[in-house]
This record gives sequence, C-alpha cells and structure tokens, in this order.
Amino acid sequence: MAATNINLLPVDLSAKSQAARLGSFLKKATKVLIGLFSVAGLLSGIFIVVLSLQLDSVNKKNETLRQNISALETTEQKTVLVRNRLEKIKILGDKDKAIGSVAILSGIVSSLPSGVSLTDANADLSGGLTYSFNVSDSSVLPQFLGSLMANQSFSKLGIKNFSFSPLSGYKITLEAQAK
Amino acid sequence: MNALLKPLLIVVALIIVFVGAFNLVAARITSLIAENEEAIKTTQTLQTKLSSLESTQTQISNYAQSLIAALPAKNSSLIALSQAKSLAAENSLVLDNISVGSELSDAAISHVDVIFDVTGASQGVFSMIEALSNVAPISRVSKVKVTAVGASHKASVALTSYWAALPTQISAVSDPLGDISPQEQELLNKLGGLRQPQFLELTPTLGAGKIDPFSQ
Repeated sequence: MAATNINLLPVDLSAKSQAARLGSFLKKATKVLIGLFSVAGLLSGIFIVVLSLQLDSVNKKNETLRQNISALETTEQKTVLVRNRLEKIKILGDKDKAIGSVAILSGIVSSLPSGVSLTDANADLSGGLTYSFNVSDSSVLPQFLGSLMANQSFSKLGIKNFSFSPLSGYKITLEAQAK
Repeated sequence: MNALLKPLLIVVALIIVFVGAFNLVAARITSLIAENEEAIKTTQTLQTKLSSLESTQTQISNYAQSLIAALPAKNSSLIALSQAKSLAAENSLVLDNISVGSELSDAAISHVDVIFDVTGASQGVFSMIEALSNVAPISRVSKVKVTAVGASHKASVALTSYWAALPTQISAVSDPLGDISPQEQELLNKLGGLRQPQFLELTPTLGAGKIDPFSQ
C-alpha cells in the first residue's frame, strides 16, 4: 500500500515555515557574502600594498638615475648642442656645386695644351659654369675640343660662342652644367 | 514578514557596499598598475639616456667644439674672412676688394655674403677656392668669376658663411636624447676634419691706452 503524505497543519503555519527557510537562507548568504567580502578585501589590500611598494621602489630608482643624469649635465648640454648643430648643418646640405664646378675647371686648366688659355669663367651655386678659352693655334683646336667632349664631369656641355680674331686667335665660350 | 525583511535588507546593503568598494579598489589597482608601467618606461628611458651620456662623455666635447667652429653662434663673416686670408697666403695669392654683405636670417640659420678677389697663379686660385669647402665655419661659394690678368688669374668670389643661435634650453631629464645615426656619425667625422679657424670670438686686447698728460 502506497504511503500518503497528509499535512494537518493550518495553512498560515505552513507559510510561516517557508518564510523562516528563506530567512535562514538569507542569513547564510549574508555570512557567505561577508566571508567573500573579507577575503576579496584582504587580497585587494595585499595587491595594493605590493603594487605601492613596487612603485615606490621604481620611483626611488628613477630618482637615483635622475641624480646621475644631473651629474652629467655638462655632457647633456653638449649633446643637446651637438644634436642642434647637426640638424641645422643637415639643412645646409654638403653639396657645394660652385666649388665642384671650379674643381672641374681646375682639372681642365691643368691639362690645357700649349696655345690654349683660360680667359674667363663664371661658376654659380646651381653648378652652372660658363668659361671661355683663347686658342692661338688652330692645330690644337680639335685636340682641345676632343678632350672637353671626353670630360665626364658635366651633365651638359655646349658651345655658347665661337669667334675668331686675327690678333688673338679663336675664342670659345662654353656653357656646362656640373653633375 | 519582518523576519524576512531584515536579512534581505542586510544582503542588499552588503551587495551595494561590495559593488561600491569593488569599484573603488579596482580603480585604485588600475591606477597603480598604470603608474607602475609609466615608472618602468621612465626607468628604461633614463637608463638609456644615462648610458648614452656615459658612453659619449669623452667624445662629445670634441664634437661640440668642432660643431661650434663649423656653425658658430654669432656672425661668422670675420672668421670666414680670416680663413680666406689664411688660404690666400698659403697659395701665394693677393686678397683684396673685401666686402661683407648684410646679415640674412631665417628661423634656423643666418648667413652673410663675404665677397673678395684673389689674384695669382691659376692653380693657386683654383686650389684656394676648392679649399674653401673644407673650412670651418661652413661656407658655400655662391658665385665665382675668374678672369685672366696677364699671366695670372683673378677670381672674384662670393662666399656665403653661416651661423645659428645656440639652443637656449635643454630637454627634460626624462626626455630621451636619441642616438647618433651612422649618417650623423659620418657627418661628425667630416666636420671634425674641417680646417679649424684661428679664433672663434674676438676678444678686446688691452692696450696701453692714452697717456694722461697731467700725471707727469
């Protein structure tokens, strides 16, 4: 024969028991929450203390480094000066095209055949060079012009003027652009 | 019902306090972690800066000296002229018709034109002009006009000489200095090889002064 549960208690008494169970659960939950709260608080506190100590130690180390750097203030000033000068010198660049043109002209003049002389020359910042030669002997003219054409230092070379005077001979004016 | 309300209120209050405290603690921990990371970064920067300063301590003085000669702090026309005069003498040239233009400045670099004539043997004239590219202060030949004068040559040279004001402040201690790149090192070596001027700044010489006629 199957067992039958019979509740003989009044209905209000039964409800009171459920509330008591809920109350008991809430009390237990309160205890658990307080426990969790305490553990979390303790762990957080330890973590904060560790982090603060670590920060303090790093800050002390930084302070020592700052003091060491301050002791090298003269070197630092000179380093700043060096960097400043370098940046400004870099703006200027290192290519002096007029001097480059003069160097090329110097090479040409040093190997001029006899009877050829430099009369005038103009070199400018852009590397442009205009120069004139006087050639008294026509027999050296092909050799001289040939040596100019063979010169690899120019990106452009052209004859600007070519004239002849019975007194001074040939006058050749050339226009060139240094590479 | 009252018996149920009290523990319920306690639980709710605990949860509110817990959430509030959690936010505060989390904010503090986050802030500490950020401060630590920042401090560690600063340590690395400072260590790099210190080791850089320590390693360049001996060289930097030489570099600073040659760079100040290469790009002086004040008008460099007199120094450039002194160098030109010295080079002219070395190449047995006559230096004359000297004139100095007016100063031209921009934000970074100032310059002035120094104009002069040199007369002598052509190779001496060319050697002198070529040598101008290797003198301190840094100068650029902006124009050269060479003319034949009998057996010799005369060159009218316009030389642009540069200078720049010195930096007025150094960076903060924790700011990195930055390393010298290989290109910069090459430039430093080149600048170190420039012909150094005889003076960088003219100092007044103490003369005898005027004789006091009443002191005798």
